Amino acid sequence: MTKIIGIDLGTTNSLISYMDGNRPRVIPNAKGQVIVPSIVSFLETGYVVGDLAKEQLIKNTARTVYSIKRFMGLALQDLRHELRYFPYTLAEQKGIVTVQIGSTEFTPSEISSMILKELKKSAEDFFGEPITQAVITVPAYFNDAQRQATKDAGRIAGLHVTRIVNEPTAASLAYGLQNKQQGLVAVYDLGGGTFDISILKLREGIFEVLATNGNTHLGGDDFDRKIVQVMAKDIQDQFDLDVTKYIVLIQSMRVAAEAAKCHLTSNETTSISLPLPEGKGTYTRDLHRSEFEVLIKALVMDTVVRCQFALSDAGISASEIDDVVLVGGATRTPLVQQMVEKTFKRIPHTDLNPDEVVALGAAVQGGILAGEVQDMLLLDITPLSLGIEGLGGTVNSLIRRNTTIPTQAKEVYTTSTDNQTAVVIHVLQGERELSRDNRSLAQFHLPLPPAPAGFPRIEVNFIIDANGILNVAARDIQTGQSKAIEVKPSYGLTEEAIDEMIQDSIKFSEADIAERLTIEARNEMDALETSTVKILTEEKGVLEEGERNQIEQALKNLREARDESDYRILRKSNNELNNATKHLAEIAMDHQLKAALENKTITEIVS
Amino acid sequence: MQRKAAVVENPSPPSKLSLPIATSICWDCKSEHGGSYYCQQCVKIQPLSKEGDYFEYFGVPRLFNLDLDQLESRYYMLSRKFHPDFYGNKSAVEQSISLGNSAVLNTAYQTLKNQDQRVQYLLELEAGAWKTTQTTLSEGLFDELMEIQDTITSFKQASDPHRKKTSMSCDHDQLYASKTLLEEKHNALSSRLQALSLKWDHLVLVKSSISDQIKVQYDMDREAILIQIRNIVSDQSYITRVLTDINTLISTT
Repeated sequence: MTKIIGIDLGTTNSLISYMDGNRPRVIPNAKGQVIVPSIVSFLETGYVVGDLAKEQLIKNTARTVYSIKRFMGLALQDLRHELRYFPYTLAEQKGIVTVQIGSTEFTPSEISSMILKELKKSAEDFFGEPITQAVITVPAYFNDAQRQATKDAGRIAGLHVTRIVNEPTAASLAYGLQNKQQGLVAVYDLGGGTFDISILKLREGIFEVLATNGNTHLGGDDFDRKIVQVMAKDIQDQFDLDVTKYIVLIQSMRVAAEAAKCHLTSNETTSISLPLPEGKGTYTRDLHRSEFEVLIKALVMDTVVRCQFALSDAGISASEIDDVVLVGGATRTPLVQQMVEKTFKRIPHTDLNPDEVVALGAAVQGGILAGEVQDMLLLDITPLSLGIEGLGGTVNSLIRRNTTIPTQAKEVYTTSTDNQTAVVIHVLQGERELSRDNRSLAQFHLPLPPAPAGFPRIEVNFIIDANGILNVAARDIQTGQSKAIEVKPSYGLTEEAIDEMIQDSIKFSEADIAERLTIEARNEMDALETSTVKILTEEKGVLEEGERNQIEQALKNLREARDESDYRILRKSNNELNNATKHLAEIAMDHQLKAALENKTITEIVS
Repeated sequence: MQRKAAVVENPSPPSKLSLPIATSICWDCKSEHGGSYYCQQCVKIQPLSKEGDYFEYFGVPRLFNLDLDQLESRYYMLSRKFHPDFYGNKSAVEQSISLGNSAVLNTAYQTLKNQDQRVQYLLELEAGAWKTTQTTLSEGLFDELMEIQDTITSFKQASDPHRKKTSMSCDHDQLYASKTLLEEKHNALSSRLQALSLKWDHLVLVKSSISDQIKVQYDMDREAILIQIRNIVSDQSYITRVLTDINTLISTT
């Protein structure tokens, strides 16, 4: 049975997990860490991901990409209010926002795929076998384009994305597995960049989502930004310095703000200290928790209002909720916990690690899909209504928000003039009345047979699958023939673009592997050289002349080969020297044995 | 002033969904499966019948008042049979049947779970010869609604900032009075609907014990109840529309 691993691709951090029998577990990387910062930094030699990239935030500001999740499935114009906060350059290609690094543009899906590859590698090292299938989580309130972009990222990373799962529902799976509670549960998920609230009914192993609401641009990042704004104003007033002119300073402010926020979780006050450019000295400031809470109050209130919308859509009152589960790092904020407690009139459940619970739930869903977990089933919903543009730019709603998925709706199309050969169908997602205020998902021409007006009857089926992604199928009612419709996503990558990225990524990863092997071979070479030189000087006449010459020749060859970039050449000279020193190594072993008998340790002899 | 025609279109039921037509022959191994969810021979999932009605899917009688707990249990049971999660390793055809069946099942459950949707769906299912006739507002309600419409119009004019304000407060009071009146009417209709729906449910449940002699009378009773229920639903939907107008006006002024 193929393993299906779980991935929480977060705004700030990402994690990968698997089912260990009946228990989901997170997978550590080579350094033993389970949390990988969702940061990619482009260096001269290639890119680095995670902690290594985090170190570059201030050193290599313009080429270090963080919070890429905020851009998934969006166009530049969707981000116009946020652009100035990001120190890296954003551009646009065919309606998709891109990050510009030097002369290369990367889509958010590509950047995300680099993070996914890093996680995939950890899992492959952990299991010692290739990983090909994954469940990836997304915010429940992600629209179709954002889900599609996430799926694309998986494909570019060489993963078959078996399922896209909503983060709060994934969390509920992990929660349900641990607590076995039945009843109504609210999952309040405030992450680095997104907020979701989901109301679920847990019964007989079924996790039925009743309603969801959220904001895909509200999270811990925005709390940091509030502090940054205060700092910027202070620095302007006190030092007459316009911080927006210095991207490195802005980045330092952001990092300092994040640290201050975290410090205020368990402390009443914190102090911020920041060196300024242009010899302006150092900016310092104390920040009290109460001040911070004033700054973020409106943001937290926004989440509370959305909780109320979700409750009302679910048709239940706050007092009927049996348990509230907190998910996401930003729920550590005391004000958030207080407001949640007030809204649901109960103390939220905090037993689960808010950083890990989504990844653990993704592993459970992977287990369900692989058939390892038998008794659990998630019945999720689509967060946003789906409609078709009607006359005068209005929206004709086909599928209401909070409808259980999979679901489908159909519409029959015909012609209004004689011999009309096609109609244009514009698919929209959102809750607004006018089509221009909603997200355009797709636009396509439906070919119709030439006939008198009103005569052709083409039935178009809109199917939302279990991933929450739209599929379109059409059928000619008269002939019963299915019609292929090419749906061109309004935002998002075309098939060709994805294929190209996969090709690029394979090329790059081949180069990556070759480079890694070269480095490894060179490291081995250096170790070999050191130990050979050491033994040659210390062997005290054990070696015969001919053997000694052989070793010295091999050592010389090895030194000459050191700057070769092909790992195969490096390995060849390593092998040569290894072979030449075989006898010597045996003698050294004997020495070590004797020494050991004389109560000396091996390390004392070799070192 | 042009008055809106006081005719309400027949409330449209949720459109039926299209699935491959289910036959009693397995799509794959061509053996008889006798209409079950899985072929007895090759155990492959079979597409749900297009003709089946939502009540039939859940194995419940066509009642206005359903045991929601039982409905939920059956929905969960069927979800465990059809959900795409359980077909990940199966063929593309089986996956698409699972997707289609789940989609129908979900729509069926949403329709039957929701009181208003269930009533409309049942009316459509059981509609006889009167299906295509249009519903008219019940007597008396038409005149009352026209009056209230006038109140709304004059309130709109009075609250228009470009106009001279006259007897505004009076209109405001009238508006609230209309709101209360409509809410009372709506509630009264709901009570009547409830009584009628119980009567219908009773008739459905005793159907098997009906003798041939009273069969004609029985069918007439059933139809009479349905037509009354349809008229109530139609009256209510008109009232709801006017109430929404009033509530919007109140919240924006």
